[in-house]
Amino acid sequence: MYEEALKLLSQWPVVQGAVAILLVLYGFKTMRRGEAQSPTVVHHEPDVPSWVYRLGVDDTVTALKQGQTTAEHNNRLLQDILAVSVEIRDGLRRRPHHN
Amino acid sequence: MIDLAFAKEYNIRERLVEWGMAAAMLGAGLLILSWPQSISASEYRYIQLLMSAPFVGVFLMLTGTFRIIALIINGRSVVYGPRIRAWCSLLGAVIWAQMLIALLIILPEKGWVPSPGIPFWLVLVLLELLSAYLAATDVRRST
Repeated sequence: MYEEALKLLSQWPVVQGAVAILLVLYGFKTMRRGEAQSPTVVHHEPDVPSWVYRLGVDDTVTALKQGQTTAEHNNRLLQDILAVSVEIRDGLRRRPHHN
Repeated sequence: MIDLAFAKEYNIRERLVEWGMAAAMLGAGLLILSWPQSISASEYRYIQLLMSAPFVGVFLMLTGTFRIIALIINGRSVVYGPRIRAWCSLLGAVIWAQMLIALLIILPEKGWVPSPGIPFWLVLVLLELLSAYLAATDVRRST
């Protein structure tokens, strides 16, 4: 049996096929290793909830119910918008760029 | 010939090996399909022990084409683009290894005088495996 195996290995097509199969297996393993080391996740959803709720209609109604004047509320809203703009800008800067 | 903006858009600097190999595959595939004797009458003829010359030509043309497409669209699909690139690199390694083995098989007929192509093919096989690994690191998965 050992001699038969040796005889089989000495035939070139067997060697060529074996090299091709081994390369595919090794390459596949290498690819899996590469994928495991890639920065993981694509975020398809923007991080909106944290600021959408702050600028929501409920907020305005609550403010008016609490007796704030429209001018006071508008002023606070403007400050919120500015703060949110900074958050969005910082968030975009932190987002990894990939092409 | 190629300006910097073009090179940047298609990541030619980072993926030079892949672009080069894709171009070589297309060229070699076209040549082998046009002149199958370029395999059967050359020192690479023993590659036909495993696969026919037209098969090699079609294999190279298809892999080269997929590779070029994947390199162009890669920035638009970070899930599938890098995987196609990685698989094409792997197929490149397989076919270049067959070229290398063909040069080794013919050694006794050539009086054991080795072809200068041997180290080139060996390096190309290693470069393709490295390309497969690097392309795979570009994959982005969603959770």
